[in-house]
Amino acid sequence: MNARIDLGCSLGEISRLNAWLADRFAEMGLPEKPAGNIKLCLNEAVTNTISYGFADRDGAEISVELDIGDDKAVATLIDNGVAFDPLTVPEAAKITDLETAQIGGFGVKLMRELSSSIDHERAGGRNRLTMRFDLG
Amino acid sequence: MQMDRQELEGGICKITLNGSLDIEGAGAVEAPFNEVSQTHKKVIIDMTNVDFLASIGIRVLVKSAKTIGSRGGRLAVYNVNDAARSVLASTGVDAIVFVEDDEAAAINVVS
Repeated sequence: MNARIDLGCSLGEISRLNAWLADRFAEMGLPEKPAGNIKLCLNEAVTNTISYGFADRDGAEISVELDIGDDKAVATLIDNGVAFDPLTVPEAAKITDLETAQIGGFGVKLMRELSSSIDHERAGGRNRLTMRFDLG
Repeated sequence: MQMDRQELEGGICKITLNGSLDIEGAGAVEAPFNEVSQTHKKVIIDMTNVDFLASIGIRVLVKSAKTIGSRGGRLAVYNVNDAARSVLASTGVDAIVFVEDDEAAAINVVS
């Protein structure tokens, strides 16, 4: 199954993305665990793009593509925001105690852990973030 | 996201969440969480009906744990689903927030 949704540049759009994902997962009968992993990775990636990707939101173009096969799924985020490769962000340190615990910065860590691979490309003024998931 | 608050015996504040701790849900509970964290030292959160936990929800939990902990208190969550439990473990949140199986265990650990 191939599907695509275009999103506006506001954080309220994440709820629309999640409702759309729930419908696609139900159509494909995707099990709860991979569905949850895909949803979480896309939430983190799209939140970053909407929060930090655009100085001027008027011309923002943000799309999510979902390709679900028998044994793997690919989720792709495409946007025309500033060049940003989340894989270059230093991973947040795992929390060990109250005093040193960082409050945020766990999004990229979760994306790395819950996907089987992530690639970022910048071409034609667009970021293309591809996250792959094993369904086996 | 719906958030209910109940005062239990022994100065324990029980918070019941219903919905997703995504960007919208976390935004809705952040202010009431801050208020509870600043006024209580024993806080338990029923996560039975939380179906999704993103990093923005982690932020709310860590901030509360730090505020409560700085005043000598404890924060516990209980009945957390497998996916959220795995997020709590991989980020290390379970080092500063007690993750318990049920309400009795959560009450016990903050008392």
